[in-house]
Amino acid sequence: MDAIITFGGVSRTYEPAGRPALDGVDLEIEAGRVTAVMGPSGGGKSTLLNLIGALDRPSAGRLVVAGNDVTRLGGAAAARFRRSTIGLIFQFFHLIDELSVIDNVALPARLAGMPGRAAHERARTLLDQLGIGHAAKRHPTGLSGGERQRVAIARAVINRPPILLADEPTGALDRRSGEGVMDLLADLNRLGHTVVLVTHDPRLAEANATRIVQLVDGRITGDRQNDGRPR
Amino acid sequence: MTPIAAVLGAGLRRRRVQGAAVGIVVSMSVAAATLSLTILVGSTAPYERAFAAASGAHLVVDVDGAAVTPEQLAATASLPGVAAAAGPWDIGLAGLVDGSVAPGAARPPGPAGGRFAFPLRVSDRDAADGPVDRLTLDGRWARGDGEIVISQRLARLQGLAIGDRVTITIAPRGIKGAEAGPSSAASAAPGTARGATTVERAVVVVGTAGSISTPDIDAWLGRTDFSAVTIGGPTRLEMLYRVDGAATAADLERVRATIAAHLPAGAIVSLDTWLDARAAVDKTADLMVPILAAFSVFALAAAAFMVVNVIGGIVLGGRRQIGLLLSVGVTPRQVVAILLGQVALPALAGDALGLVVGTIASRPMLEDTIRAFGLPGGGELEPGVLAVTGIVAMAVVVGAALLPAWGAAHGSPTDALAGRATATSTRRRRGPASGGGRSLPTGRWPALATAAADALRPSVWIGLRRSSGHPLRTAMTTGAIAVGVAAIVFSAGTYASLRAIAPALLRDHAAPIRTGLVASSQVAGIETALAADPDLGRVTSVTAVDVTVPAAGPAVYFAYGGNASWVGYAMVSGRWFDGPGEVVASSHLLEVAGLSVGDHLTIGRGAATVDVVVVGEVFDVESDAPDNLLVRGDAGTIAPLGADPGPARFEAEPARGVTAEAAIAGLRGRLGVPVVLASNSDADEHFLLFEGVVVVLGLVLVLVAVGGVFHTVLLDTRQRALETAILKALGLTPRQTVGVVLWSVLPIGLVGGLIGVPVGSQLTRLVLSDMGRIAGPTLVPEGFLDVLGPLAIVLGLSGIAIAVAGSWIPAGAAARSRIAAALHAE
Repeated sequence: MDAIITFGGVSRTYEPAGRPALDGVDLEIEAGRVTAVMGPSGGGKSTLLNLIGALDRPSAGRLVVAGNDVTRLGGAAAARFRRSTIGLIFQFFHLIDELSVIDNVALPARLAGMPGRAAHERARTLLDQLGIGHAAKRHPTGLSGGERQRVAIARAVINRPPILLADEPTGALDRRSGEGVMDLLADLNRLGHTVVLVTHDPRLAEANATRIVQLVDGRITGDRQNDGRPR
Repeated sequence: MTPIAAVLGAGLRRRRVQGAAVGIVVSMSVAAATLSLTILVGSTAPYERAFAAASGAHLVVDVDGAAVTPEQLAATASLPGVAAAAGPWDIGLAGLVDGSVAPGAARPPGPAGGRFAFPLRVSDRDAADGPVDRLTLDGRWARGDGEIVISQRLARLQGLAIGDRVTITIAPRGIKGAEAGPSSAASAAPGTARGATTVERAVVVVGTAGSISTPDIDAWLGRTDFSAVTIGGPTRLEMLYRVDGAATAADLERVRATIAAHLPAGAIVSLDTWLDARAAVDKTADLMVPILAAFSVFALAAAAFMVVNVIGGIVLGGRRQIGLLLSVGVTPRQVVAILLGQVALPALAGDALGLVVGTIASRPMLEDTIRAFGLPGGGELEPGVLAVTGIVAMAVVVGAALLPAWGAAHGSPTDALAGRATATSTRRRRGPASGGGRSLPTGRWPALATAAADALRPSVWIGLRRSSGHPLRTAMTTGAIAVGVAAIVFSAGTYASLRAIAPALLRDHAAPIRTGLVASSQVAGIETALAADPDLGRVTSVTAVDVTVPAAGPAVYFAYGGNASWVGYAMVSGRWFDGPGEVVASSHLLEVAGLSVGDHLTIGRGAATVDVVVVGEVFDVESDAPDNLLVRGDAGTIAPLGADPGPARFEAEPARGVTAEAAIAGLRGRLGVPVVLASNSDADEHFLLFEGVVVVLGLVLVLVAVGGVFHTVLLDTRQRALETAILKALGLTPRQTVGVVLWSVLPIGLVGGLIGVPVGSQLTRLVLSDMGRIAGPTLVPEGFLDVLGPLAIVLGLSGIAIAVAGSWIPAGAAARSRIAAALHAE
């Protein structure tokens, strides 16, 4: 498969004299796969995800995502890139409590220029598909963790982005809810989305990812297909 | 260091921006309050303060130099009732030649073939110090001939400075000694003969001085120079006295009588008391009080709004920190101390800075204020004002912080911890669970609203939603903006009104050419000469006649010779008189007499009376009419009273195509009476002062309002950092992020403007009406109370400008904020 994400010697350093969060990473992620990034805390996993999503910029190297050199994207271009190419799923959901569920889901579509009525219709469809259509007019604070993460997933896919980035998507959920969320991500992958998943949980990675990358101290220390064979 | 102090210090270090914002808002508020209160206090009884500082003279006595010797006058210093004395000094008249003054000073053309000379009243006083009337002095006193010390007033009017070389000469001819120049010019004794020889002395200005007791003295000369330029003119000796006791009118009369008894009969040619001078200054100062009081209230209200808004927001925004502290065992009292410390310490720094800035800013305005009152010196800052302002400001800060801090410290730690860093997660939408969001409602009106929302860009509807997210903060910010807008409308309205009132009182646009008093025997001749002058248009004479009005008592009737409808008086109501039998009256006279426009009025003089109809209420502040009890009408109206025609003045307009200055130049020297351009430098200076105060204080208040909005929006954007990061992660561009912040404050700015406009307009009306009551008393024509009209509504849009100005920097910071850092800050 063709690479949809290509890291070329990418580094990210936050403090001038500090240890780099990412240190010369070379990595290609194939389209249509579920790739899990694992490693100890502070290893650079979230930083890697942030760079892919153009939420942050590399200090060195080149990073191409879906044909876009994200190292060259300015603020507005990065925002438009995220609208069209990236779906974000966070450990703590990051829903806007003042908005209703359907408004949260429709928000990226509205930002992408879709008229409000059309955005809400698409959001309604997604919520129904995810089994939480009944909560459309409620606010996130009235939902369970699993329901909130489903809302976040619906929000992440409303613009049909080719890439989904999930940072510890089950970290704040109980086991059953977490399994439900991972099943959703698997379904989305089958529909064609590329999924890059950060997780601490080796069982979760083994059960869902087709490739597992180990990241320790900002460097890739392991990279294998999920059938046990090294890459 | 105790643990609590360590937490406090860490909090201060971590929240540097917040602390700086608190300090800035407090400093701006304190500076505004200090400025307005300092000027307000300085305008309260300014004469007494200056008089006490200068050890002013309770009595200023001028005697005929030909009838009294200096030794005789000096001996009066030891009379009973005299506490101290200074003098005697010679007083005389001289002239300041125009050709030698500093470049740039404008001079009217002199008489044909002659050098124009401004009349000066000069003294040979030998020192600035003394037991009575200590002069304020810049530079030094004259050490001998060839040097001159001029009054601060003369320096200002003539554009002179220390080091300038001037030429002085004998006084110009003419009644009152004034052909043009400052209205304080001294009088020449009527009928004084001048020698044909012109004496000129070149002197250098070595100092400028101000006298509380002898403001009519324009310059002080060395003995020989004095004698040379006053030669042939009337001489007077002047003595200054301080009296024992309270120096009441009775005390002054007793001392006067004692002095007069020791001098030849009729020797005293003039006597001024400090009571008259004080009354004149206080009346002017009183005019300032309404404006300054209004601005002081504005400043204090704005300061209180800002501080309460800012401080309350900081405390409420620190609920998570409170929860953490409580959960690790810090007592509520200790939590309150920490919160207060985090607010009070930067506020204290801001307080001190604000006092310094306010003090520095106050000094030039205070100097201008004192100068506008005609007083010497620059005014002294009152330490009490600074102390009170500083203490009250800190009290407001502590009070604003204490209540929310106490409430938060005594709340549930769990609830406080649950109040996360985003403002969104602390607010729970009330109402039915099925509703409350921007869901798609049903029905016709909701559909229209949805359609309207659909038409809005995301940054607009997201911003508008935010504007109502925190009702208390929104209300406080709206109030602060309303104060700012009200200050703008008040400043602009008062400025515009003063600009309209000044020429309306002076009437220089209608009748700019004025003569001095003409003796009744010369009136006919002057009238003929003026009527025949090709450079003049309409001309009218004005004679002041003492009359009585029932229920009002003594009044002044200003009798016009002929049609005077063009002389330019503004009317409070009604119209100008058309001819005999009709009059216009001042507001105060109508009020005292219980009359209205349209009523009949009986005017009496001796046993004779005449009945007239009041056709108008004139906007008039006439210094020649005590208590502003006056009537204006045709001379023929009071003919039945048999009044002897007294001295008259003439007012005239220039002919078409001729300037007033040219017309005056052509008349000067031909009539034998002074002909001047209508001016009132005292009033001009007062109006300039009022306008300056209004503009400066208005700007300061606007800055305070902008500062308050800045801090509120900064707080809000920081508390919404996570929400903003989420929006940006979902695709909000930097420009849209700025738009969200700005749209969140635009409704607040609009509402603040809508509130501020009527408040400012009404305040303008109240202050100007109050000023009219003090100055006249007189009512102010409606057109002058509301000069702005519909423009005030446009000024209301300044609320939006204030909101945007205060939000710009925080909006930019939000746009530039790092998304990843905010998202993972949880």
